[in-house]
Amino acid sequence: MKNILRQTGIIIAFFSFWYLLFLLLSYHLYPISKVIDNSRVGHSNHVRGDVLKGNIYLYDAPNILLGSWLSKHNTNRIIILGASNSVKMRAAIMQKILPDFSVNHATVRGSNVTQLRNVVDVFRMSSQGSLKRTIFIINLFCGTFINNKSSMGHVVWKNKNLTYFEAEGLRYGLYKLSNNTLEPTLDPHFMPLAVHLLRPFLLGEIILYDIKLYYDNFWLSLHPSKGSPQDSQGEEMKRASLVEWKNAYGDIREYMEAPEMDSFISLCKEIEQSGGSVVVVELPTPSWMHGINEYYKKYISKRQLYINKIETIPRVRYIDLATLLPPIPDADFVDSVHPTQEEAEVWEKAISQYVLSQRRFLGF
Amino acid sequence: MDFLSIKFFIFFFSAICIFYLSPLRYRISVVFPLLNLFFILTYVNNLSQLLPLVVFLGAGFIGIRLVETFANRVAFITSLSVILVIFVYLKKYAFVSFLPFISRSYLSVGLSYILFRMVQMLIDVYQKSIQERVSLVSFSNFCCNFLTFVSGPIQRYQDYKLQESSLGQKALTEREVFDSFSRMIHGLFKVVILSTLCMGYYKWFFSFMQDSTVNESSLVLCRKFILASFFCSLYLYFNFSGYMDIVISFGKILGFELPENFNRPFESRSFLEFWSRWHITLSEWFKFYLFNPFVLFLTDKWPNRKAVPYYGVLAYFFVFFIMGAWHGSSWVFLIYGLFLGAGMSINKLFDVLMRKYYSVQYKKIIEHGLSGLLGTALTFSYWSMGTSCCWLDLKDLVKLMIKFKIQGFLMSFLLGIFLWAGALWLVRGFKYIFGRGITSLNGNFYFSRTWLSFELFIVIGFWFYGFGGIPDFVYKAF
Amino acid sequence: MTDARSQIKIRLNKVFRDVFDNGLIEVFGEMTAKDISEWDSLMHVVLVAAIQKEFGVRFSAAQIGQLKNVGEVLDLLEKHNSR
Repeated sequence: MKNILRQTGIIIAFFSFWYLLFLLLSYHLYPISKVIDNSRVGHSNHVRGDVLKGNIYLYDAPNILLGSWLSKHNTNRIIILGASNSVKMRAAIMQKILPDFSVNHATVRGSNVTQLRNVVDVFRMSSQGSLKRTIFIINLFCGTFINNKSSMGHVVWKNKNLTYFEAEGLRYGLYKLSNNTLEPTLDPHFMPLAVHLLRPFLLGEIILYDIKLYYDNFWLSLHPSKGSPQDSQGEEMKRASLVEWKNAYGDIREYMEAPEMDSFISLCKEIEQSGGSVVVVELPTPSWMHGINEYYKKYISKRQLYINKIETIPRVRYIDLATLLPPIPDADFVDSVHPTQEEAEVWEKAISQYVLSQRRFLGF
Repeated sequence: MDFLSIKFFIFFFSAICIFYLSPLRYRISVVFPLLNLFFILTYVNNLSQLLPLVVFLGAGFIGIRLVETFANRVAFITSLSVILVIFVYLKKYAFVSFLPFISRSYLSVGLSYILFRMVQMLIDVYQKSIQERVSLVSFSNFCCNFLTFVSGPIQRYQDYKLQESSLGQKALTEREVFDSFSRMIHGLFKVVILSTLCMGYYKWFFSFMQDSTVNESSLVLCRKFILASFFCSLYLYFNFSGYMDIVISFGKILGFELPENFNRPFESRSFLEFWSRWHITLSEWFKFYLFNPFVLFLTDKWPNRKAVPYYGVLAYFFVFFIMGAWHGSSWVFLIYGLFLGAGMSINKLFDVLMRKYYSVQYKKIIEHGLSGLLGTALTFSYWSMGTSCCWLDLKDLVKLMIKFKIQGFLMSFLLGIFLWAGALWLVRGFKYIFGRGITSLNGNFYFSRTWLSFELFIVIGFWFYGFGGIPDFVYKAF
Repeated sequence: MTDARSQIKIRLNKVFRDVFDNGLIEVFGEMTAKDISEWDSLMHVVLVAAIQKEFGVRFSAAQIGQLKNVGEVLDLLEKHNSR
């Protein structure tokens, strides 16, 4: 027994060394002061991009996730929501065109309507229920309307109906699922302390995430899929993307059904009722996809249903970005949905100009 | 109770304290049964879910008593039959689906392993390899040992009994404790990180294969199939051997010497050798109580030296068919068993042929150098293809067979040999260059503890990151 | 070595030579399967069958599986002999 206790003590002591080392590193690399900047969510991300990582909210914006960011904001805000095809947009571009707004990126890779709602709820929670002086720019495309079964289904979570936010809270044991809602496991006063104690592991996560990002970009650079649809490289890209869509989107009969559209319309209404404004931006996709992708075709045939409804909501605008831009060559997309960096910045500029032109309508 | 949960680690450390602090005379008769009971109770929501297990254990114990008392074939056959019938019924095998099964949920985890233990005891009692009377306490401790309850290793009763009286009495040295902790953490690393990563890759390749609407060239599909198979095999290995590392090291700390279940199986140079390195205790059980008696029966009945290899072939098919059935109650597992049996038979006949036409020393030549490497790769490739039965249902398997035909499977097999041989060559090269240095560093007190604690740190971080993505103990399902 | 044991050893040697078809085999206590290349799990059972027949004994499943070397076989046979 004595030797067991001794060896346990030795391992704990050495473990503490690593723990403290990573804890100090985390404060050095990502100081707390940047994280609790009330006006700019995700400000500390500037090195990696202006987005909230889907699975490390705790690190980047712990106070927001934990609901303890209750201070009133007193600036005009723009919150950009969307999925991975919005990730390359630069908040700095919009910030320049709309200097009297504080521009924040809150895009989350793989977002569907439910996950967009999660982000909006977090802002509502952190602003004491009010979304006044806030414009939500919701970048959407056909992927936004993936149902939850498919969207959360392909993510390897035990409970397959969790959004990223929910999974984030559950992952670290800070929340538990009770009657389908998240309940904190600790007293709210201890939550920030718990997040501090988790920082060493969160830092490891960010490092892993960056390694994965580097690897993905490296892989993409080795396999540029910008071939035109006619050549063999393009054909293979098309085939591979169709397989990915089918795997990601699930059964086409269950895609783009009423619940998702109704949920999106409700989301716009809720934002408006909380004092906010919405600009719904339809993001472009490459032309080669339009003819062959069954999901896209279904989306196009049904989208007018929700567009008609949201355009009746005060302070909500819908714009098809493709109408603001010259025809986009397929080479400006890296695959079936994601733009190149240059193209993303063109989109950001166009959206910014549009918001500027509509600010009176949006209540500013 | 999930072995990867904080609850389990709290339970385990509490068990150590309770065990070592309790009076010696109560450890086996009171403390150990209570710990086992507590562990089993964590798997059920109410006591009624334990009833089938209690009935099963009761039948086993009564059977053993019957054989001890009457010591005749009738008692033995009756007891064995009752146990097997109860097992088949509780596991809801497809071939007895006409029976009205119990509709309410009940604990079925660990039943297979309890079956192995009880059958082993029954046979050994009948054949007088167990001479002393089996007490109820020893029987229940042996069958329900919380360390081996879920998925083994399948310890023999005699080996357990030898240790029972001295449990917790032998003082462990610091080295032994450190080695146990070290192994535990390596086991966690395998389960939490390696098996999760392999599962991720296997699912990724598998998802590509699923889509039958997209036409892919045969070579691309073969590559995806073999890579999915490889990663599935590695996932099984890291998952199972990782859990075994945790269980065996826990056992060591409590004073149990549990048998090993793995001995670097992917270094096997032949399929025959593979089964002495993979799930060793299961292979040994089947060898002792199925393979050997079956071959003995055939040899006694038809003594013919020349026919011996063919007796072996028959025995392999028979044993692996049963082993396949043990893995699962659906038909696809029977195909799995026959596939393994075919592999063993082909290997055996090849062995016999080589000895006949070349030399008895051929093994010494063929199992080294490049031929040894190819043999290892061939073994892994064949076995990995077999494990596809674990992740394909019958419908998908038939679809794959139609799509691939013989050429597709052959191409996958050959591609697999090439890929695995390449991977092995790289790993061996790495070991050759860095192996000695790593061994000497590990001998240093500060380095070894620093590295081990860093490994633990990474495991905990990955466990947080993985959440829900960490695969459960796969062999719990068998 | 006792007389009984050496007698058993002589008979055992003959069994080994017959089973493995090798007139040069000389058994010894520490001899294991590694010393005879044909002695694998299959031939082990054939060998046991031949020993059982020669000595009129019956080994249990556990005994067959656990025999590690010739010395253990000799011990078992000596025990049977003394009964």
